[in-house]
Amino acid sequence: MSTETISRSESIDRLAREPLRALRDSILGNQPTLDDLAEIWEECRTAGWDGYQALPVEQDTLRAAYTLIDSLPIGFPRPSIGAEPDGQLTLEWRKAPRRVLNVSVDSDGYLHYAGLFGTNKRYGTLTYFTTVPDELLQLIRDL
Amino acid sequence: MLDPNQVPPVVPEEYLARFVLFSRHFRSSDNTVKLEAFMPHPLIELSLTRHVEATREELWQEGQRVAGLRKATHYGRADVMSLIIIEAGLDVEAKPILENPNHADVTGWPSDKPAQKMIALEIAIKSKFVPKPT
Repeated sequence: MSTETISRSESIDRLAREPLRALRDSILGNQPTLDDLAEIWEECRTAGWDGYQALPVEQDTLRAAYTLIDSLPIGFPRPSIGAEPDGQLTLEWRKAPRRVLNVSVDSDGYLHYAGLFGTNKRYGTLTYFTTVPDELLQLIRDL
Repeated sequence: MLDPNQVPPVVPEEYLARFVLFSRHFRSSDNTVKLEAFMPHPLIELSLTRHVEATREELWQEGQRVAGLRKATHYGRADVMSLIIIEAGLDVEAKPILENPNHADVTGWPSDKPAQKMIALEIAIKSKFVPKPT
């Protein structure tokens, strides 16, 4: 492939990605949540980060959480980020004290969730690979 | 604090404290507790401190001692009535230790993660976050 062809394809790639990047950085995008995720990982990457006996949050877990957040639809409610003593990262959506969904992300592609939907409660495990499972989007909508 | 030689069993009406040593385990926006503060891992038990016979100062001192041991920041404590934990299907056992005769453990957790989260969420929404006095 010639240098000119490569250069042209790089320009096209940049042009195609630019709007996506702008959208992600906008008020509708997920960038603030991704920044928060990076900050939490810094705090939780060594054992005992919770003041008790928490396991460190591994890089693979960070990567999995990043992928999940990044694939949330633009304009969708943003979660707040947390971490659990077993080294899993958590995403929480909360509308009211009794309307809350908390999802744990592990490094193996499992999402363990528990939620209160008014007087109803739901909990279970979902699997995911590179995009947010439809079941999770529905749980968030149901809040 | 309780007399270490005469520690009574935990009763449903008494209050227990979970010291909060991580900033993301409570919501500073409305001073509520997140479920993560009540998750039991890596032990399948959860350490708490009983309020019974403890002055307010003694409770804060104990939180400070725990935080000091781990070089952590003591943000406050999550107070919850023992009855809430029992109603969630768990047990609360008096487990005095040398430094803290008021120490208790919450046991009987299910082994699967989603069920643990559901219980921790139910406890968290019924607990009260008390920020450490400045």
